[in-house]
Amino acid sequence: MNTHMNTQAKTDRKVGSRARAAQRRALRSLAVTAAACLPLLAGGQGVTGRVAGCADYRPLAGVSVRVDGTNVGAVTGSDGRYSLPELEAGSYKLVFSFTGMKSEAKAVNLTAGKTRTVNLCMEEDMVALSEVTVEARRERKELTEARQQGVPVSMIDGKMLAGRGTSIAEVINHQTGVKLRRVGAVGSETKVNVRGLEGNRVQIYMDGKPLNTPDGSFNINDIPLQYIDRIEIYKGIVPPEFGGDGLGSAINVVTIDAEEAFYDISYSIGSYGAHEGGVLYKHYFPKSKMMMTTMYGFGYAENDYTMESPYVEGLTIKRDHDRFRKHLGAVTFDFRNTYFDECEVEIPFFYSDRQLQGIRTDIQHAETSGWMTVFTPKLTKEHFLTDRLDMRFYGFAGYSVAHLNDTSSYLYNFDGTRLPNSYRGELGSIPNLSNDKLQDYRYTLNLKYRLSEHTRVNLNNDFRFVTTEFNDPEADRYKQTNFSGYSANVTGVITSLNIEQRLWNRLTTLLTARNYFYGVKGQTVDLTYGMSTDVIHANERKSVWGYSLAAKYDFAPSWLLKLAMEHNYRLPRSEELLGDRVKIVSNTRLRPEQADNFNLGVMFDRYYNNFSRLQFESNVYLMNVTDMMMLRSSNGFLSNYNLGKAQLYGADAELKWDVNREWFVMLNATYQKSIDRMRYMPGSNTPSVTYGLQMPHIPIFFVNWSADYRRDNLFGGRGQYSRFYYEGGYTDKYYYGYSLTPTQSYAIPKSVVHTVGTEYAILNRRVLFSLECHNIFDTKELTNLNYPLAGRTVQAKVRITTLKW
Amino acid sequence: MKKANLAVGMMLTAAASCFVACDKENPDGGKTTGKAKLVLACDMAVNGSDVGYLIPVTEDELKGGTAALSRAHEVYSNPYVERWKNWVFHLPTFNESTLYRYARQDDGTLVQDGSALLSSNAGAGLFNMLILSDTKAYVSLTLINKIVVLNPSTMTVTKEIDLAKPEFSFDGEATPNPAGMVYRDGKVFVGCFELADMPVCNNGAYVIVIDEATDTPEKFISDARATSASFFDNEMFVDEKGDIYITCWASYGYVPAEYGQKGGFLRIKKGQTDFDPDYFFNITDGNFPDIEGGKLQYVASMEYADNGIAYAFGMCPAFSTGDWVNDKTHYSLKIDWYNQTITPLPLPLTNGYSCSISKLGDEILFGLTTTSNGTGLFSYNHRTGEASVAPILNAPGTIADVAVFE
Repeated sequence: MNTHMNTQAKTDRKVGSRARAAQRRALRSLAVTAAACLPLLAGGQGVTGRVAGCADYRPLAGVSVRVDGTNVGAVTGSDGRYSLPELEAGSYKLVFSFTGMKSEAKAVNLTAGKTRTVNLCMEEDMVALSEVTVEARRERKELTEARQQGVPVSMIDGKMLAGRGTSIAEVINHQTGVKLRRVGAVGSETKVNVRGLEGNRVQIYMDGKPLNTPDGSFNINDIPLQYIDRIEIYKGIVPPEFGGDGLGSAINVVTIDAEEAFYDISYSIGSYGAHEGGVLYKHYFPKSKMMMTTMYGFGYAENDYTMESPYVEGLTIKRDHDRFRKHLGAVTFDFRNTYFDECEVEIPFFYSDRQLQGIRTDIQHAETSGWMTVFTPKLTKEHFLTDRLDMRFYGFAGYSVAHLNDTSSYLYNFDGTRLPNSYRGELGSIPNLSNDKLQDYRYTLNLKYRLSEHTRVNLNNDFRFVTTEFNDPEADRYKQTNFSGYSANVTGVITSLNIEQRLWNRLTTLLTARNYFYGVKGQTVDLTYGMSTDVIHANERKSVWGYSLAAKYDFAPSWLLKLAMEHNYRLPRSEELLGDRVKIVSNTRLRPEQADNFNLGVMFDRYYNNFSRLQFESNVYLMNVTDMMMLRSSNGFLSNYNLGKAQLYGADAELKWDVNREWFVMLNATYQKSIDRMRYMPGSNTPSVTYGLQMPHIPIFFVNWSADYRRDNLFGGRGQYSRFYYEGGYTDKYYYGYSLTPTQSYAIPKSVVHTVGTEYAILNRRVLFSLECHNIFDTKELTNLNYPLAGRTVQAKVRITTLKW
Repeated sequence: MKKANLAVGMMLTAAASCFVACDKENPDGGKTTGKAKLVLACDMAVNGSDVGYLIPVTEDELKGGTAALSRAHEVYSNPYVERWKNWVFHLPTFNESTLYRYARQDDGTLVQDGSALLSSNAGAGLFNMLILSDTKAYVSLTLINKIVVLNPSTMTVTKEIDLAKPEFSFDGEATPNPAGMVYRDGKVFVGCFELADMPVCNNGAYVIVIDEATDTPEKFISDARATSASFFDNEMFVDEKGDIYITCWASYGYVPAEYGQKGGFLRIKKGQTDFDPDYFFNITDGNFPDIEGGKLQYVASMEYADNGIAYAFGMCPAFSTGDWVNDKTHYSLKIDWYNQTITPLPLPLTNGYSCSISKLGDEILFGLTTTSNGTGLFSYNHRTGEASVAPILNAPGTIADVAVFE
């Protein structure tokens, strides 16, 4: 790998003058783009053409096209097109190369004054895929393809996260349209807000499988960064192959699926007693032709930072009941010698427990814990049964247990004194020693049929069956009830059919029709009359239809136009339908939330050489959401109702520039409005004063920027890699309530947060060290009203790996 | 192609600019017309907001006008208020343990001019305040079982009365949960929740009697016939005879009567510090012919007029489908304590969120959220029996409480 890197460095110097010229063009392009989205024009005589993948004929961006034996070359744009102008007449050999694809060579004869067209398709190279090196900044095919879908998507390359000791939340917080809202430090509740929607409205996937657990025991931050291949953030429209429901926003964390054996050990230490470690070993058994991966990770954090009480002026609180622990592991069997292209079984396991820190009151005993295990088979096959059919199947059988331990007979003051407790427990008004069980069975089946070279039909069937059983004998004993042991089932089936067509080599459309079916059946308890032991026998079924259209149009070299519209639904979760038998009353009449989404985007993506690339993307969107499920309380009980109606709209833009081999800079900005569209106060004919106003507690305007410097052998020697990075983020002030009075008391203040970090690797990146400081100026940071965050934190990490980069 | 690209850029820019300007901003530019006549404590939870508003309302605005949010103060959700002379005190319930004082101004506004931190426990529960004079007031802290004595003029705490003692609790657990308070003849009578599981109370009605001169609790009385003695200050009243009537809301009727919880009215006769064994106006077991289905699940919120006539809200289970937002389950009622009768008033039904009652002269003001008659303050004249068919004041949200300046 090292030889390869050095060779590449020499080649880079040879093409220096041409690269500098390209950079000057890039600068000009940047100015033009920022001003008015003007196009960049390529032209001249010589050779032009288009490069696509042989499997699907999608254009390949970033392919190096080089005139053999010279340093003349070009790189394909997002539309797969390239141009080699001003070549002299004669015979040439063009060499096409792209990371992860088999290199191709084409002979071409040029006659004076004429331009030849050379189109090409490239095959995937599985061997090369396992030998990816860091020397070229060209993007991998998976990232390029995902980015060039008709739907708005942000991509984060896992390679850039490889050494970092921070969390996923911190990383995606710098993307357009995304804001993380946290209530504390490591392990705390984290809400991902995408284009103004959050909670269950944003679907979280891991390798395409839904991650949302009912009790939130496993969240996106629990995925170790070093095992991430990429993060895909879909905003507004979610591709149909994900199969699930939702209002149009989703995050898919794709983990590394290396073809070769490797091991990986890492450990990080951070401020406020944060520790995280992991071991991964992947081994190939040649006799049985099976690859087995075992992984174990742990996390521990005291989170004992000091904060100012938002409720009592002058009171400083040292957080002393915020410990978080987790253990996670997985065993994966990848059978290599079967009829299927991929035949894989994964069995992950997760355990966590966390203490609950009080802010209004001093909580000293309440804590949660839970564990889950899952069996996930995966089968994929191209040319399944016939040459034209591809098949993907994901199964999921999960079992999880969640405990809430909250039985304190006392309440505590921050001065250390204690009081008799009117109830039992520190969180609510009854003691809890719960043992809730959930069984979750799902599958997603995807069949893709090629009708013709440019037309594909895709059938997607997503099934889920969730059965819940709530057990809390302590609550029952206290309330003199017998509500434990009832179970109810929620079934959901989402079936979609879509047609993907590529027309005139420039326009790709994806038209989808989708049916959502769900039912709830079983027993639950009607709490409306308190101690009533009446059991409700729920048996509701509903079916609704949705549709979507996504299109992309390569309207000019390096330019892409994206258009997407969707009518979709989010089905009620079992906990929303059935309540919790304690405080949340069931409402089996809940309807699905629905949304109509529109997105228009433009993308520019151009390579100037192997190391210089300019990307720009901007989107405007509009979403109309109705029947929003909202939790409302009455006389101490809670229930979900279909109340909300909102219109979300906004615009975002992002500029990414690989200046050269060493430097990368990024700037993005998001402006989003979330407008209440309830004309009348719920349950009344009274016109609502909040109609047309920004909905509360949702960020509106934010800007992120970063600069990244990477260099091999910066300090001499061989096989070394250094990286220095800086990230900044500005979030404008937003309000806790509607803007109805001139003097609004409650606001989340504007903030500017700066993060710096460095990575240093030796032995061809087999050993990595990293150090990162988040919020270097210790700025007061708040993402939820009255939940002060930790301020400046430092993380250090060491990683030893044989993973090939 | 250049033109096409330019057009796309301009389109995106134009769309973004439009988005910046498309939503409306603060819609209310209310004019000021003299001193406030009352202050509306308004909750916006039904609109999806966790804040509430204190809105000063002038006399002119009480003629079918709209409460002016432009003069409002933003507070946490579920606010309650108490008035003394030109001051309004804001009680933030379980959101904070700071008592805020506002002074009404000549221009119709309110200015916050004082505050007092009553506990470092922000969830202490500030619901009730009893003001005796310019220099003495009581605030009950429900969940930490304390009553704070303070000077409302200087907003300084002068004493804390600790009620977290076994002798002030029916089961010895030292958690009486002080709630509504009323003063009579040198004694402060404190109604107690005796909570088991909010809003479910332990069986029985409980009152602590405090000697006002020494601020010493001297007696704990109970009555097993009813449950949940008072929620707010306006659920304990002294009539012209000097008798105290206490509203017992029986855990909002969540606990069926066969478990021993009954709602209604109890009495402490003049000169006595024990419940009157001869008086219990039993609502739970009562049958009221003018009420749909004849039954009331509970009666709560109260305003006393005179001669044993009080006004309250009563929840009618016959109207309930379990949908708290859309169901209109609550009658506005006229209650005759002496003759033990209940008469529904000719006012529209409201939901369980919007149940405030106050008195402005002979007008009884009901805060209602109605299906087709609007949301706001409706009036019923205690003398003439005339009821408004539309709000005399339109409110932007659920009226949680009203403080009237005399």
